[in-house]
Amino acid sequence: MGAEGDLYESLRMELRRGSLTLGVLVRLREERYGYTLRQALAADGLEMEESTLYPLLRRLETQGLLLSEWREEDRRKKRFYRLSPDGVAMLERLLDEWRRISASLDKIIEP
Amino acid sequence: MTLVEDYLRIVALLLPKGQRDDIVAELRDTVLTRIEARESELDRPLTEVETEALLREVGHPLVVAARYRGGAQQVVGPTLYPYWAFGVKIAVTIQLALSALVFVVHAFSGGDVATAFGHAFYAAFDGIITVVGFATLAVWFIERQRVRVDYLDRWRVRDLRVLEFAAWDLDAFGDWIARLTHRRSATPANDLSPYRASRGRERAGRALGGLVGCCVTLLWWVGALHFGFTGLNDLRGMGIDPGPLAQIDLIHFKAVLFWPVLAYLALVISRYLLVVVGALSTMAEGLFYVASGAALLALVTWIWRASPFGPFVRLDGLAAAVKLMDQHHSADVLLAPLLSVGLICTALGALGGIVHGLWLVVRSPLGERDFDGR
Repeated sequence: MGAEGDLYESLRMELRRGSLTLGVLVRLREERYGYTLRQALAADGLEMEESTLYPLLRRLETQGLLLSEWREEDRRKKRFYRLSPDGVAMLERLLDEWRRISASLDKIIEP
Repeated sequence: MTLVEDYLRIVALLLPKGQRDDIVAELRDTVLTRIEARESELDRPLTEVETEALLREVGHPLVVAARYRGGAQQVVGPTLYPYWAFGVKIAVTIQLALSALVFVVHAFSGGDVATAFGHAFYAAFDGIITVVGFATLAVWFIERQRVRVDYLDRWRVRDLRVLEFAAWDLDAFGDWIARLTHRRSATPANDLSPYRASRGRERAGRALGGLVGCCVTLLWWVGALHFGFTGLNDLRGMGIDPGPLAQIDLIHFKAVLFWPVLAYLALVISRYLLVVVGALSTMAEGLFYVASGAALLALVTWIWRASPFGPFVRLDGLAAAVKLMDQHHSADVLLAPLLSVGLICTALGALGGIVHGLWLVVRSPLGERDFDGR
């Protein structure tokens, strides 16, 4: 069962990989900072390690899809992220694509 | 919070300079927020052990810093890995075969078997590490320089014969011998006769095989690879008597020839590289053939006329050598006649290369000037 479990985990990670970026973009329709974003995603069933989330946020910001600013909250400086205008447009395109993929898979699974 | 600050200081050192402060500030906030959340659950401050466990969950500083760095995160990436593995397999096979040959020669020429095995093992191990190192370095460089190897996009099925070696096992070796001796027809899985071109393996496949062979030769010539040969007397174990040639100072001979042979190998390797990347026109290839043929002919001429080997391999020297063999009733084959034949064949091959090169140069303006040489 160990080998089968490892194989399931590996395939499960592959299945999740693309959806994580979409989940992050959707959740950043409203402004959040890293910790609350991670908690929101975990509550949605999309657990993500900080070591994965923060580099992803930086990459999306470098790609122009997110905006960020440092603000003080609870006596500490936190970096808040939200979607940029380009990010909003990209999210809509990705959601369309997600719905297309989902519809195709539904047809295959239950013809 | 000394533990946390120590951790963040190490992570900072591993981050790109321009983003260091920003990333560390964000990491600090993340770590402190997690600590506060854990302390809130436990209703007490975390101990040092618990804080360290939490930092371990965040990740090792090397791993955390690597995730913020862009660019390739591997030495040999997935695109080039199959080609790296194939090249290394060929080169390691050549190294092992030559080391085994040296062991047999030393062992059967009266040497101590254990010592011969030790020398051969050391030569094989050292050579394999060197070959793998150079191959990895070459691929590392290609990946980071974004050199586009044309062969990756433009290979053709008829170029694939050279890959037969990658699939060789004892069954394939047996089938190959059977095909050579016509004892039985090849098994279907190994029968590539429908793809056999009348001119043998095609250009890019030949170039790839030649490139690996030349690189191994180059590494041996510059002393980076060793096969365990100590001198011409090693050939006695193979039934070849070097005779008076054993007295020749090979070290001085190699020193005189070092740069000319290195230049020749560099010329041939350049030609193979350009063929593999698809950047060699027919005319340019012709010029390469002429240049390398002329260089090889000059080398053979020097060995024949002016080198220490000359007096023994020339025809008048051969007659004396045969007379010597008769006098000593030696059962061994004399090296000198073998060298003579080898030099004559090499000279003929060089002349053939020059003629072939001239033909390519003359032909190129008349036919299509395609970079695949077809």
